[in-house]
Amino acid sequence: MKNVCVLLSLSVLAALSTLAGCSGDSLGAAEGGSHDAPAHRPRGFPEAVQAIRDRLAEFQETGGAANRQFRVRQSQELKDIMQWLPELAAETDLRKADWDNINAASKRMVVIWDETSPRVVNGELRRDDASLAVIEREVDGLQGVVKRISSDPKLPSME
Amino acid sequence: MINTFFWGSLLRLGESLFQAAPTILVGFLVAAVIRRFLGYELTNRVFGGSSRRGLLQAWIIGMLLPVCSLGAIPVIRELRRAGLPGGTILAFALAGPLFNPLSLLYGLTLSQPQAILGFALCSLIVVTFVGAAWDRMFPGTASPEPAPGAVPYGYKRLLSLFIYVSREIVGVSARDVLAGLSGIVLLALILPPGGLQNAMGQDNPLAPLLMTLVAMPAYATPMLAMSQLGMMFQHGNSIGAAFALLSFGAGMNLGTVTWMRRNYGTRPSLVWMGLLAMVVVLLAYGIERPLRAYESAAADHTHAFDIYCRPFEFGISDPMGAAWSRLRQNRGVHELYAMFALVGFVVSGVLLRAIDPKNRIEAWLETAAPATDSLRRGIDFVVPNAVVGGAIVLGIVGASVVGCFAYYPPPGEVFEEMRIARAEAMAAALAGDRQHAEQWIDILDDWTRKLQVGVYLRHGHLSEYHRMKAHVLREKLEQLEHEVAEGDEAAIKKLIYEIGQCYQRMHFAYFEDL
Repeated sequence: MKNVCVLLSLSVLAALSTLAGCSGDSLGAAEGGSHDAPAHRPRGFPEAVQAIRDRLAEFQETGGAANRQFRVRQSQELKDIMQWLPELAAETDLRKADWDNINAASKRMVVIWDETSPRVVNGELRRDDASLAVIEREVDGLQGVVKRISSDPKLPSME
Repeated sequence: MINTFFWGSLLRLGESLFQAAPTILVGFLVAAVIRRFLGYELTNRVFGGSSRRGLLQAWIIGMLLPVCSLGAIPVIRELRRAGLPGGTILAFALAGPLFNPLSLLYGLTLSQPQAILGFALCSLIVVTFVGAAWDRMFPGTASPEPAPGAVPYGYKRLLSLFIYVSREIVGVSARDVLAGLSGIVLLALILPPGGLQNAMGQDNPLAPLLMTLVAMPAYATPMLAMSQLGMMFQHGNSIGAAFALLSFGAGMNLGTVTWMRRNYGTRPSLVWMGLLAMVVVLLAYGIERPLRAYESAAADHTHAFDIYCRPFEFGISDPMGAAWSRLRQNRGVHELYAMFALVGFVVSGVLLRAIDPKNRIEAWLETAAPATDSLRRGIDFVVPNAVVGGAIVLGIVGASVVGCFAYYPPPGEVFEEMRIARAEAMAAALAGDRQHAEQWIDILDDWTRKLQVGVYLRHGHLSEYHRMKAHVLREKLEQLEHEVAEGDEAAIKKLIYEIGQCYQRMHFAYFEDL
């Protein structure tokens, strides 16, 4: 029974070394793990609002890319941007009330986009799709926040 | 290379020992209270004796007591002496270290409350299933010992506690505690720096299994495990792996295994470990999808498990100095005081062994006039041992609740600490001093979490806005840590500016917009 224990311990250690990696190579890989932002992440909140508007317009105009896989990626990227809105807004001087509105708008947009994206992916999106109109209204509201802050000298400017 | 291994392992051992010192101390104190105050009969009643509800009672008591898996070792030694069945003892051994008021509060604020409560429920399933199955497979494991003689009230009663802790801390339990800590050394020898950074992603189907393997020899205090859970949620890591980490990393250690093997034999211990691993892994895979909804978007890596890996890379110029500096930097004040107390008990334990190897002091304590339970002289009456013992245990639980307010100070105090940490971290980053920068970035990161918990504790809630402000600062700090490692001066300067902005906004949010 003692041998069983030793064998078990050794196999755990061997599995650990194999899975986690003991060599310099694996160390390099671990060190290389970066926190770089994805390429489609906008620089700031105003850029994110504009990016959503632009991408929605593109979907309306062309129904997205011809390639299905590419449409899946475009759809996911748009959802990512919607989800980043609260974080990007938190990187500005916006007060709590405004941020709460943006957070709520982001959640609403994501819910609607989850319903809409299958149509986008399947190339079935119509130009007058009702969901897109709802999202556009949300974007208009966000654009309003961007404009209001940049035009009001009393409010701190956005980064 | 040998120097790096040696000092790296020693650093990990020291870090764990400091983190564990308060909960180890509590464990020995609770064990002393069981032996000298509560007595074995009452302990049996409190833990449900050999009835099935004993498993549930052991889980509840375990949840309340602020012990870690090392601190649980002297307690389970006393529970075995009291004659409790193995399943109940092991249920306590596993549940005791999972949560305590400090870590639960931390988890509820920084992870997702639904997920933490889900984990608590799963731990109940684990202890009841494994405990009941084990008791069925190995009946009659209870092995009661005769109760120690009664100690009269007064200073002797207090002295008996001191003597017990002193003897036990250099006795058989100490060996198990050291065995438990050896797992950390083992991992630090095997795993390269940052070796687990990419291993626990939610898209890795092996993550729960790998975490089970890592967490089995690992030791984590409830607070450490909870902070790792928080980071795993923040980075969108595997939820199943998080549960495996809590169950094995916090719930048990190699010391628990050596204790089991000595008391129940190799086969029953292996069966228990096997049952436990099976149930935990099954539950880990079972909760992976349902609880994923509560976590953040996935990041490509996490630093949550760096603590289990070797701290230094080969070629570091002064590993001894680096280890000493990091150990000094990372220890908390409460950990330092607890360590002083532990050392004091160890010294007195060694002296007792040398001066009184035949336990004559205990005999003297026990042969004196027995304690009188109901000797009334007006309001000056003798409080029975059981009442004093109960009050001490409840006091420990109460102190751990009240201690939350000290451990998580109000925003004013936190920002004062953060101001210092920020200045140190930014200056070190600008100077390119990676080691110093990493230390202070970690300290600053930790304070942002304590800020959140402190506000939650005092206001009863923490808005998403305030959570996000702290999250944004932490993200920037993590980016800075990477840029410092890569030595990109331009990126470092840009990030330092951005961190300054984020810090000001967070300060404003927590003072003006709360």
